[in-house]
Amino acid sequence: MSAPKPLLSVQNLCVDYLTPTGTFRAVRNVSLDIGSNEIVGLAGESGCGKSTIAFSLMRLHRPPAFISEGRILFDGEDILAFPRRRLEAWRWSGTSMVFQSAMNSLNPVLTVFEQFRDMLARHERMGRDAARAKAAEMMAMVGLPADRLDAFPHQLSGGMRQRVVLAMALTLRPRLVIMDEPTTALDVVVQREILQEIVALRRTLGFSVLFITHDLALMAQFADRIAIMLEGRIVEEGAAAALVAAPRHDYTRKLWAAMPRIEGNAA
Amino acid sequence: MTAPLLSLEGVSKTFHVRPVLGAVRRVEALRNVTLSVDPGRALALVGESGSGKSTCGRAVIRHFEPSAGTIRFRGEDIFEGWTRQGDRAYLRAVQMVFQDPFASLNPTHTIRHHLERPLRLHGGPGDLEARLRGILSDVELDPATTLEKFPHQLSGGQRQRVSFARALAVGAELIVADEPTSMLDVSIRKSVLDLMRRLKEERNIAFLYITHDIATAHYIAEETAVMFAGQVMERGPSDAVISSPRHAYSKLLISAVPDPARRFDAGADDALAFTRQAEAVRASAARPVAGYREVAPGHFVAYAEAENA
Repeated sequence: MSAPKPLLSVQNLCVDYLTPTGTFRAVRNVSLDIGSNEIVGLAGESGCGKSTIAFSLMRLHRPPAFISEGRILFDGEDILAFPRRRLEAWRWSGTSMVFQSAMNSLNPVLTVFEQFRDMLARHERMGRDAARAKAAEMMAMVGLPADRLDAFPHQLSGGMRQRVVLAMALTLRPRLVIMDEPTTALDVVVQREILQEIVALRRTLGFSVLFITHDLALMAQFADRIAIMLEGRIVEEGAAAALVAAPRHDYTRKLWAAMPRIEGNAA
Repeated sequence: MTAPLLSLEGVSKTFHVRPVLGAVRRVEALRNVTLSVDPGRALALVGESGSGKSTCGRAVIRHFEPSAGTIRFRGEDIFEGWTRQGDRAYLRAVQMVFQDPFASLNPTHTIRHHLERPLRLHGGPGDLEARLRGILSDVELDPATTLEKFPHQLSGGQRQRVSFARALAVGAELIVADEPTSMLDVSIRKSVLDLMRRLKEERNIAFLYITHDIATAHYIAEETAVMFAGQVMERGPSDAVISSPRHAYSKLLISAVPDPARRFDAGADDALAFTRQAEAVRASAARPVAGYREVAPGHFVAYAEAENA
């Protein structure tokens, strides 16, 4: 579809939830490719299954959710067939994830550096000094001073926390970063700062992004390709510009119409 | 020109935060805020979190008394020399709608209970049942099916409509709406905004609309005030403030509103430049405001001491 061989290829993915009254299919036959260095947006309202997809891709979904059908190929290999060891090594280094609330993904009782060290020790068997240098380098990359490494998460602002998470997600040079509403809890100015930084970092480091949000306007600014989800299905998929200029599906049009826009705001 | 319904004159509020360990910290949540809302019109307070916009709303519903300045409702100071009746009249006339429609309705009571109580407490003429139904129709909910339901049986948008119905029930003249649509799905957000617009136009209800979403502010409010670090940076007609902001901070804020026509394809240098610029603007905007310049009729822009107009 996009590149000759996609980095990530989701094929006919179905995710079910066990409920007292039977199974509920949250994701229905979703197929989606993400090319190398591509930013793909997944948009939809709450409950449409977009976060369920994000968690399933990392195999972070927990019961009562289970993947009932489909394949997830990362660089040609089926993630669903990975043994536990392989899966753990692949998380962070092959694909990493940035969640909506950085406060929930950072450990509140460890300093920022301890959290870096945790990851570096486990994946790279790195010693304390090497880890410190690596962590400082990553912090600088996202525009944070190295002395913030000794801060606890609650001592940082929301934007800084999300930058820390982003720095951690990029440390092991993953080829794909899944971002589930990464800036929804932030103010618009900080949101723009962080997203522009991601675009710039992608240029220097080279990685793909699966970007999940309900904010279509933001997605159109950031993603190369957009898929729109409704009730577990992808109803429309296309280049970002085409989805803005000429949406084909009724639901996409409805989403656009539902958003008040300010005309011609100055840059 | 009519007299304003609500006016804030030089309102300041300083909180003393007492942490478990360490010294007491002073937080100047509001600094010399002057604003007014006319009957049947909406004023949007926009700004990032921590800018003092919600503190402003909470002062208006008398959650606390300002450290300095006065808040007048129909010309009378809302904290001075009020009688019991006057108090009651104020509490009736000024109603609040909160961000979280899950937390603002009691999960153990039906919608009937939520609307009947204010109707009884604040009295008024007419048959209770007929008024209940009338109010629900006013907020576009079906009285036949909604009255006996519990909050959890309604969607977020429907619950928010119940919150507005509750304000209507007592005959509110001013509704302080603090981010009423930010927890709703995109596709129903606009219908709730449309409801607010209709209440404003048909019922002559004034709104103090607190939001971080500048596009919705433009959609609903005649006037907009941009707040930062407890101070008003710029205020005036929404069209002017949003399409041609004059203050550096308003420009920054409005330029960051997602716009599908503009791509984030800047290089590393540009990204860094934007961050630097944002920091510089914030630092400069946090300085005390020395005064306001009227750049166009009703359009005021703050200036700090150093720059001097």
